[in-house]
Parts: sequence; C-alpha cells; structure tokens
Amino acid sequence: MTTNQYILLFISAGLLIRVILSYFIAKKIGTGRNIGYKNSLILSLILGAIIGLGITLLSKKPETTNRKRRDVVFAILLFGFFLGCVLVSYGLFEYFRTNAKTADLEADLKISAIDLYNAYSDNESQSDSIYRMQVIEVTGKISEIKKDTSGIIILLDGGNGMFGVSCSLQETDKELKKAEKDNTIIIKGICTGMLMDVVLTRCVIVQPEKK
Amino acid sequence: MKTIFATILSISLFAFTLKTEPTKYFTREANITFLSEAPLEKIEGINNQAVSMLDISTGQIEFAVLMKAFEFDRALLQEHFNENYAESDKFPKSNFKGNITNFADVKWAVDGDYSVTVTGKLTMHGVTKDVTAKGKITVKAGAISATSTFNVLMSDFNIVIPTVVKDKVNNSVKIEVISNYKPYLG
Repeated sequence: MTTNQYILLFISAGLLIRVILSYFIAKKIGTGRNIGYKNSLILSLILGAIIGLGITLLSKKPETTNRKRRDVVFAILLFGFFLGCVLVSYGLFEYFRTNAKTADLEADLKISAIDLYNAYSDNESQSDSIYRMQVIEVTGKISEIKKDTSGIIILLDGGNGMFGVSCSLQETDKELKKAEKDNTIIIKGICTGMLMDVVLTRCVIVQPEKK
Repeated sequence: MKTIFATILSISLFAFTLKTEPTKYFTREANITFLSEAPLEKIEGINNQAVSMLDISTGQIEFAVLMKAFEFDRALLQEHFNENYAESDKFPKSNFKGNITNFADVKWAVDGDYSVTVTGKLTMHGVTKDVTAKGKITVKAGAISATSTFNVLMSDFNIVIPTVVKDKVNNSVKIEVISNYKPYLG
C-alpha cells in the first residue's frame, strides 16, 4: 500500500469511529434529553464525540420521549452521510492516484537484455503476449546513457552492436551516478513493446556497477 | 597482376564509401508530447522513447511511437488514454511517414535554423490521415535536430470523446515533437 492509501484508510476509519460514537451518544443519551437525538447527533458529528457527549449530558431530561420514527430516519441519513464520505474519498483517491512506483513492484520476469531483444526480433507478436505491460528485470551491458530534457535513457546492448533494450529512467534515481558505459546493470521496468529497440518505461536501477 | 589491381581498387572504393558523409540520421529518444487543453482539465502525455529516421538526401522523415509508453502524471488519465481513447492494446503503435517539402532550402552542413514544412501520413488508432506540419530544423556543429508543433483532431482518427467529458478532453490535440538526431551507421 502506498502512503496515500494509508492516509485514506486512516481518514475513513476515523470517520467511521466518529459516526458510530456520535450515533450511540445521540441514541442512548441525547434521545432522552431536551437536546434530542437530532441536535445531539449533529453536534457530536461536527464538534467531535467527546464535546458532543458533554453538551448532551448538560441538557436536562424532559417529561416525554417518543421519537422512534425520527430515529430510523436519522439512522438512514447517517448511513447515507457515511456512504457519501466513502464515495467522495474513493473518488478523490482515484482522481489523484499516481502510477505505482516500479521500485515497489515485484518483477514478473527476469531476463537478459540480449535474450529479450532476440525474442522480440524473432517474433514480435508472440513476445508482446509474453512481455508487454509486464514488470521485467533486465540484465545487460550499458551501451549508451543519454540525458534528455524529459528524463534519462539507458540503452542496454542487444548483442548486435546497434539495437537493444531502451530504458527510460527518472533523473532522481539515486543509483544513476554509479551507472557507467560498458558496465553490467540490472534494470527493472515496464515493457511496452518494440520499435527499433525493446522499450521499457518507468525504469529503476536494481543493481548498478556489476563488472 | 589483375587480381592485385582489383583488390587495390576495391579497397580504395571501400575506403571512399567509408569517408562519405552519412545521409541517414536517426534517434531512439525523440520526445513526443500529447496535449489536450479543455476548460476544466489540461491533459499531458509525454513519450521520450519515440524513434525517428531522417534522410537528408531525400528529405524523407519518419516517426514511430509506442502508445503505451506515453506517461501521464495521474494514473487514471493514463488508463483512460490507453483503454478508452487510443485503444493501445488493439493499436499499439502510431507512426508518421512524410517528406520535408522544402528540404532543398536546408543547408545540412551550415549551422543555423531552417523553417520547414513536412507533409505525410499519420497513422494512429488504425486510421491513416494526411498531415501537414510546420517545423524547424536546427543544424549546430554537425548535429541535426528537429522540432514541430501541430494539431490533430481526435475525430479524424475515429476517436470519440463522449459528451460527458467534453469540458475535460479537447477534440483538438496538440502534438509537440523534439528530435535530436545522430548519424545512422546501419
């Protein structure tokens, strides 16, 4: 789980506890007092269960109490409110969700750059069905490192002197400094198919400078 | 004697061909940006692993790109782009094959900026359309780079934008291309 998911879970749990506590304060104590179920519930929800409980306890008990139907209506409204909260937070979470960090993903396959390139140049459509959109850990010799305005490309040797496996990395990758031409390196990324080279996006360096 | 002469001739010919200036240039790191600006939302997808070939003897220019390699800052946009609009599983690649119409105006050996017009065929989402784009070729210390910005209509490529998201996704998408070439020694 990412940090965002934890925060969301935490907020949802907090909301749930607040709603349950408020409901019990309003139902068990508020109903029997002048403040009533409704006001007690609203106060507890907005100000928090403890302050709501205090205010509810300060209210005096009236002569008659018969609010069963209203209680049911408010229970339903309460459920709606909670459901709304969950849906809104899910919506916000989905809207702001970023792509999963490759470093957090388990590699589906491990292969050498030469084998991956050869598999693709032998049979592209078959290789697509095996490798495309998979998290792949590739071992290979660095034949080129190129910095660009929008990131960094490391080309791994495909064993033919010209083409190989092209990996795009973020400039912030801490292991990048250790990456040097002709070194063997292990890179994890998502295979998106083949143009001239096999293309891996969102790559991270797993292990640098293996001579 | 004859064989020696022939050998010398072929060696010198070989040396001569090695010396000639390359006419084909390529890059595997061309930047292609996809930009949709709608009243409610700006959507930008960046691909820095596009492949391009440029032949300076004919003015022929080609681009190829993997749709799945477009990166968006929000995962939902990327998923919608691939699943609902580009249908990247069905149409994994897009390409452009064209010509620099005024390539004779470009002095490939002289440093400078040259305005060019490129016309050709853009294939995307399984549809091929004629596209004309204005661009710039920059020659600097023997290095050739090309930039271009042009608009394409999604509806031209059978990509339907539902009415519900009309304010979020623009039918007219701006494509930006930045391509830094190096000699192709293949």
